[in-house]
Amino acid sequence: MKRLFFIVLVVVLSLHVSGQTKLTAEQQKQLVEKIDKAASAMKSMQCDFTQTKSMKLLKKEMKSNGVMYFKQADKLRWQYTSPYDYTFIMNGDKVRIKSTKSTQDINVQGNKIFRQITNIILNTVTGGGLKSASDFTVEVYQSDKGYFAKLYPKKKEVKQIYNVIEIYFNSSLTMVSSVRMIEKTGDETLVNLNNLKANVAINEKMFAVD
Amino acid sequence: MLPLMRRCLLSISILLLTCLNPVHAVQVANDSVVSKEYNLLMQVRGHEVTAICIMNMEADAHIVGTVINEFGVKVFDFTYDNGKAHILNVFGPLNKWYIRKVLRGDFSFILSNIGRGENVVKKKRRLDVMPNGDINVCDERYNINYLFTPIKAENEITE
Repeated sequence: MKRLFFIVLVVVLSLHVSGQTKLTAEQQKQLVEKIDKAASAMKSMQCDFTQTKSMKLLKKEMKSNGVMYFKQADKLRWQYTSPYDYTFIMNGDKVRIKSTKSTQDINVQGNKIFRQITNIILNTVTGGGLKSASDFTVEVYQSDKGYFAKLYPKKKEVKQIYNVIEIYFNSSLTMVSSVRMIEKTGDETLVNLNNLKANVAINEKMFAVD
Repeated sequence: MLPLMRRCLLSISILLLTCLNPVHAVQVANDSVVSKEYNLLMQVRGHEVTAICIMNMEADAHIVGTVINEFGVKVFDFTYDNGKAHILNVFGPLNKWYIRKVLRGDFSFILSNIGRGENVVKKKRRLDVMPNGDINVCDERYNINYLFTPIKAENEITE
């Protein structure tokens, strides 16, 4: 009896500590469809973001801020404004990277790792990655703060970098509110998306790579 | 009996405080680190890679640092002690023995000279302090260039 009580206590406590419940396969399917539908309906999006990098070895965090613009299907401008200037522009297969000291144009098709990374960025920003079963094993959870998905990479190139990527959604499941990327080394990167505006007009010049 | 016990407990407390205080003082001294953050531009045989280099320089010249890309993905970690750098946790596709070897040699040179504030030439490596505060390091043997641009003013951090 004492042992049973102890087991129940441990289970209850662990549930309380984790505060998250894994959805059943059917619940997950319905939720992923809802998120995917919302991602498809979103023709454009812009927001501010804050990125917090936690470095295990240095026992410290580095915060950076920026702005993001997205346009269906594959146009993205991810721009850091402080404490460093760095702009990543994706327009189809072309990528332009601008920093204070250098500008580079890259064709994503010819670079497997780069293609994986740009896919991750696009899919996590829109939430569209939940359906790409070949890239990730997806688990969806409900917590006190809402729904979130854990994406376990399947592909070798991504597995070399990340253990898991967590995508958190807003309460109406229409947008991603934050992304947490946990690396193999234990370092973490948390990106919070703020002041999200969907389906707004964005000048094509923001995605110019030529 | 009670006063004796009280005196005994007081003695134990004083003894514990006396023993613990010096340890605490040493910890505070050792935890005093200077943190530096740089934009890093690496040029390797015509290819350019940008990253962020963050390092904690401790009072005893021990350095712990990391190189991450702007999105936060770790490229590699490094430590420096007694004139030698160690390269750790190298980003998967770059984790080859010959890459680690070149980085180890270059970072041993960089970390032993970056705090000097003057130009240094040693064998086939050169470190130049630019007038704008940038630090340019050239590995002539492998044709690699590292440009460190300070992100913000140095700040004393006592963690």
